[in-house]
Amino acid sequence: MKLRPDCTKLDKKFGWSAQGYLLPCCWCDLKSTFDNKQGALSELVKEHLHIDKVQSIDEVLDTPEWKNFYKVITNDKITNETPEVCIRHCGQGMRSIRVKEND
Amino acid sequence: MAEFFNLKRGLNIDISFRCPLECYACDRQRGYRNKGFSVPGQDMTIEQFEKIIHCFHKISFAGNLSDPTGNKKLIDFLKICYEHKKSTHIMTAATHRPFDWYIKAFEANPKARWTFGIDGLPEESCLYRINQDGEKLFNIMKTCRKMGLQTKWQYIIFKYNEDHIEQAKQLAKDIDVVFELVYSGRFSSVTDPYRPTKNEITTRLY
Repeated sequence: MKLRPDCTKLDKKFGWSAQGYLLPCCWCDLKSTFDNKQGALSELVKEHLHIDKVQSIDEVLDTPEWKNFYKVITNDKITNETPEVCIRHCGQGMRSIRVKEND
Repeated sequence: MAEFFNLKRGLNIDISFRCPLECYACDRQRGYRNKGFSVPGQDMTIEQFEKIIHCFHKISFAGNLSDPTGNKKLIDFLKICYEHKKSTHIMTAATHRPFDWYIKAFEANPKARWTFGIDGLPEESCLYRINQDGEKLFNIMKTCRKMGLQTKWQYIIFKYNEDHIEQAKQLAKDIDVVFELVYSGRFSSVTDPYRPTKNEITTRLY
């Protein structure tokens, strides 16, 4: 199985956790992310990446943690760093389907 | 890499950790409360919001574990988005705020798009959206549209509402709002009590 990560598509929005962290998307806002159980994703919620510890979002994106996350999710192979939530949604395709009926 | 992510400029933001609803499949319940944990987080402040907003063109107040109306500053955030000409989208299902509060929210950003989560006919939506007053939210949605804002009714299909889709679609047409059906990817198994049973629906589920 290979990931087809939605977060590498321009129309997929970043997520933001009420705990104060930028996330690749809203699906990543899980207890397990903050419990250090989501591999490279859990690295993105380290204390120094908190909104109150940075000057700007660009500063967050330019960190080794975000660079490594991108490397992990665009890797051809699933590794122990690949977040389980990314495998579930962007590997196995577990997602909702939305259909507009009268637009 | 950083260059790539820098091109992405939409943000789906959870501005609160509060929600009066107890929706069965929300991670608020499944990930936290059902396991005895309180939902972590804080209400976003104006200062934090202003630090973030200039980086993004599109802001969605959707809530991951909360409802955006849980943060009493939502109206201020909507004003800031309007002043900064940000594309703004609010997704809500909670109904604890008074009717007048919504009017102020609609006035704060007349260009915002609103999506209301009413899963079924208004009087039955609370079967999934525990603590929701679906009829109140329906009237708020109707007012939103009357005030000229882009308005959508989001209807997640469940077992209890799978026979009421056409009726709801007509109601949406009557009040001139977009009607969106959601085939949820959150059913835990085929025995999930909320899982629809009709073949034409279940074949579209994950």
